[in-house]
Amino acid sequence: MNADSGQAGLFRSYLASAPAVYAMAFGALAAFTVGAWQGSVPIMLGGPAAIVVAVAGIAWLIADRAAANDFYWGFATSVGLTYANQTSLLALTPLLGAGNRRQVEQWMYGRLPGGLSGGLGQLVWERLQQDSDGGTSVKERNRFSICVVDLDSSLPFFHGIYLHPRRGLFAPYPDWLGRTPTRTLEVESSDFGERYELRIATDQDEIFLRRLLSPTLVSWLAQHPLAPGFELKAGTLCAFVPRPLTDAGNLTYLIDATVHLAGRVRATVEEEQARVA
Amino acid sequence: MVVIIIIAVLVVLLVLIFIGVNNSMIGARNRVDEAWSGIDVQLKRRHDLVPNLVETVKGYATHERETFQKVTEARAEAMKAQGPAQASAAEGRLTAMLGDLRAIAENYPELRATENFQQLSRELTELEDEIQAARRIYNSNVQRYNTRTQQFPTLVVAGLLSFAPRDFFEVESPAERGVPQVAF
Repeated sequence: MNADSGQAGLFRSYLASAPAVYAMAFGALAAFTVGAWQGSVPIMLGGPAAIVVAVAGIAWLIADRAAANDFYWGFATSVGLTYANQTSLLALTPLLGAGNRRQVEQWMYGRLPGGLSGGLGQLVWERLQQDSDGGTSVKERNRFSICVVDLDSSLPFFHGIYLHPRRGLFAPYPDWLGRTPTRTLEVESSDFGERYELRIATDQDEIFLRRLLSPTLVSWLAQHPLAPGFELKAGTLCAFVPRPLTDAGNLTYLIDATVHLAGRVRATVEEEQARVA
Repeated sequence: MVVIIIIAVLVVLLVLIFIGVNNSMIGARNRVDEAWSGIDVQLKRRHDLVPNLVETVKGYATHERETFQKVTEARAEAMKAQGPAQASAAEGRLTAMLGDLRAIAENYPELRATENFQQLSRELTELEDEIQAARRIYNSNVQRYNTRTQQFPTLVVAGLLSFAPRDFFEVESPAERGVPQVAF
């Protein structure tokens, strides 16, 4: 089951609907009439064909969007979340504040496993550029799958952990950390180092962080099929995959990964709180 | 003149490649050492836990003196072990002894019911998971490093600068290595 599952069926039903049939019939007739009036055979033949293709194209686009909405709504219902077509989130972590303009599509929120409060969706963030005529246009658009949970208890201990998939030379998306003051941290695993780059806030307690990054977590991250990145800042954990996830299996994987990470963060914090007490 | 320039460029290129390969080999070796430190930390934590566990079990199973002695000896041996090869064998023995200790504890329901024993068992299980994960990380780093020492062109640098292959941290415990017996 994925976001394209119902696309073909919806397309057929939209194409057979009265508005589409009328649009094609009247559009084709109008194009033919214009062609006949101008005495142009190409317009008489090509015009109706172009109208039919245009209507079919519009029907396909609408069907595509509707199928995606249906899928995400169904998925949200199946995992006990509430579906909202679109939302915007507070820029609590650098990714949630990336780019000049952003929104979250297919937002599903509520209570996640483990009693965590949060949601998941597709974060679309854009970088804009100034045109010569003073207007703005989209320079690049990036689409990430995110799962965000509240972890208020982590606030005093984790000031900023940014685990990003290693971008390499030809990364399809830019580095959104930009001017966020960070330093790089090396982890002992080669597999982990090949897959991720870990940056932390300059005032982050490194020893405490090492407790979170235990061998089991490092090994788990280095072998996870989704290779999820995460950011932990301001009591918010944002796990992400730098591509849109459009099927139930991978979305469930992302939720599970976030819950697992949140569990590790909680356990580390609780251990420290118990030690201090 | 052109020939001299070409030769000079080639020499500079070779030197740069040599430096690059050498640095990457040093990086790989350091990662192996770091990963070994990671294992060492987890093993030390386990060594620290063993006396508490023995004392707790001793309080209930007083006549299992021989097993306690063996566990203590295995722990002492594991603490003395140097490097992956020795540690593999010693830790394997300690794991087997701890298995025996747990088996003894199984016979004492009052012991199993105590909070202290449950806490120690949980910690030991968690530590064993951490040791497994640390071992996976270490072995993966060793494999990468050893592969470099055997592959061309890194093999040339490894040979010239004595980058010796490293030992894996193997499981020596018969219980872990053994094939399960299935009877139909």
